[in-house]
Amino acid sequence: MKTKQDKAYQYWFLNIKGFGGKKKTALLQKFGGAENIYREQEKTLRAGAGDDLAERILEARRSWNIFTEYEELCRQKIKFTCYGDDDYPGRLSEIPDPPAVLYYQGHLPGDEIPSVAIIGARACSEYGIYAAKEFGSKLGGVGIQIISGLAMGIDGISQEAALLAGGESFGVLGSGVDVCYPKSNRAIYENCKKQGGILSEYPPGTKPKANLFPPRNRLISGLSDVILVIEAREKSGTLITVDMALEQGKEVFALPGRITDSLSRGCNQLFRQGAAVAVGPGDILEALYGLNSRINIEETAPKNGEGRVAENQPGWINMLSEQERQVYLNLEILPRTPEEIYGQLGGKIAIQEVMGVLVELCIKGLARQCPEGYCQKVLAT
Amino acid sequence: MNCINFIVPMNPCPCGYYPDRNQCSCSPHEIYRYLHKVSGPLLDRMDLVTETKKVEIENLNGPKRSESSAEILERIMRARRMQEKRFAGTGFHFNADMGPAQVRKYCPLEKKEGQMLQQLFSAMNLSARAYHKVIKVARTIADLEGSERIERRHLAEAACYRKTDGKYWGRNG
Repeated sequence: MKTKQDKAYQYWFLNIKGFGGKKKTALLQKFGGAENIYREQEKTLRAGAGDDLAERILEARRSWNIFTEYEELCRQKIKFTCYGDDDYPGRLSEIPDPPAVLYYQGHLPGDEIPSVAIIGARACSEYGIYAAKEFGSKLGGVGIQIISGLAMGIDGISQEAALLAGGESFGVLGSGVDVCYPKSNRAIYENCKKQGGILSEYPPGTKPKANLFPPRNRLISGLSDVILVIEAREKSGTLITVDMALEQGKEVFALPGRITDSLSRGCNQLFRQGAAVAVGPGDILEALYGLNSRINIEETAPKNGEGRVAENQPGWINMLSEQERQVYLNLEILPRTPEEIYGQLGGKIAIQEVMGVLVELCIKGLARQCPEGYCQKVLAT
Repeated sequence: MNCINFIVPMNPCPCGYYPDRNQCSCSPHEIYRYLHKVSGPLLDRMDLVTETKKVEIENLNGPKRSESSAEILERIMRARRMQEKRFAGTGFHFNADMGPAQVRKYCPLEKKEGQMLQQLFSAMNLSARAYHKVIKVARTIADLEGSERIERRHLAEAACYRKTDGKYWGRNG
């Protein structure tokens, strides 16, 4: 259990510029801790670490005020754990290149609690949005830790859904934990700090840069037991994260999609490489807990395979006019254009009337608009 | 008084294929920036906002036709005559010319239709300017149908032609 003093020295050492995590971890082990390195004689330092590193350490001794720096960190409520410490996530100790330090706000994911990473395209489709919400909320709702990168699209949507369902979510950033990127996901960022955590191996204040994102993806998969890919194009960044997951020996699930959808191409390809099929949250639960676990979650899932609100709902569907009913029954989770619906109805209802009915359904809260057309508004279960 | 018809086409994104995600290679940010070159207030001043789908090659040359131009022209002329009758003696010619006072006078709504307009107003977040535009467009739709009264379906169709937050502009991935 590290004391405040120990932490202050660790923080100093980990922020010395010019050499990376692996070397730092090695030196910490060699000298028996950061405080020892701080107090070590110059001669011994040079002998043990080489002139180059010794110079940097000596310079850092002079320029860094151990206790004010650490106080500042505490004031910002930023914590950290180092490789080898008691509270360092067990899962990360197992990966090929664990980070020397993990900064966090909120708390760290528990070693004993199952974790699932939900990843996918930033520019996702309505299908991806629906699936990210479905898996995020159902899995998060039963207490599974949802890990992702807080990015636009699938990441953010699944994390938000988990949080709304009362679950815990952890966002691993390609910037410092105090830098919210992207800005538009600020609300999710703040809620993760309260219900879960925001993590990063980069020091506080680090601005997001393109080259910082790939390494953080290994932490997203590293902290999880199972990785779930919702949507991915061929040759996408998401698939690179999957490669890392495979290297780490994690189980990979993917959502099947239409063969005509380029956003499902990456997912569908993964099946050939041995990824498991996720058709519902039950599949993930089974992988984590075993066969009997799927029953509980499927009881709360939509009864109809298409996720449509069950038609034996109390009377409301009978309160719709005949035209409204017909149009409504042609709506699905995925958007359809008025032209498609007009075609499905065999041209029996004039297209202007179809459009008018769609507007009426929107007012009634039974449908909603999106760029691709109109779709069924999924009522909260 | 209207002197010009302002008709302007616009692409949904730099590459032009959005929301077809199989073809569109633009990032969400690029799409957002492109669409927001046209400001909300400017869009709100448009009476009709609609979209056209990509024309399949079969339909460019094919014989499929729903109504002849002559039939459509007849419908338009009939609507024109209704408007001439309506505005006889005043300085107005077309529904578009009406200001709020004329809308109140010439486009009275029954209770059900009035209620629907209220619902549309809040559900679609319409501005006051949009409110009158929707009624005027509905009046024209009713004229084209040959209907004296503005019915719910006319208002609904008119509402389709307004840009709403759900379509394109408010979308965030």
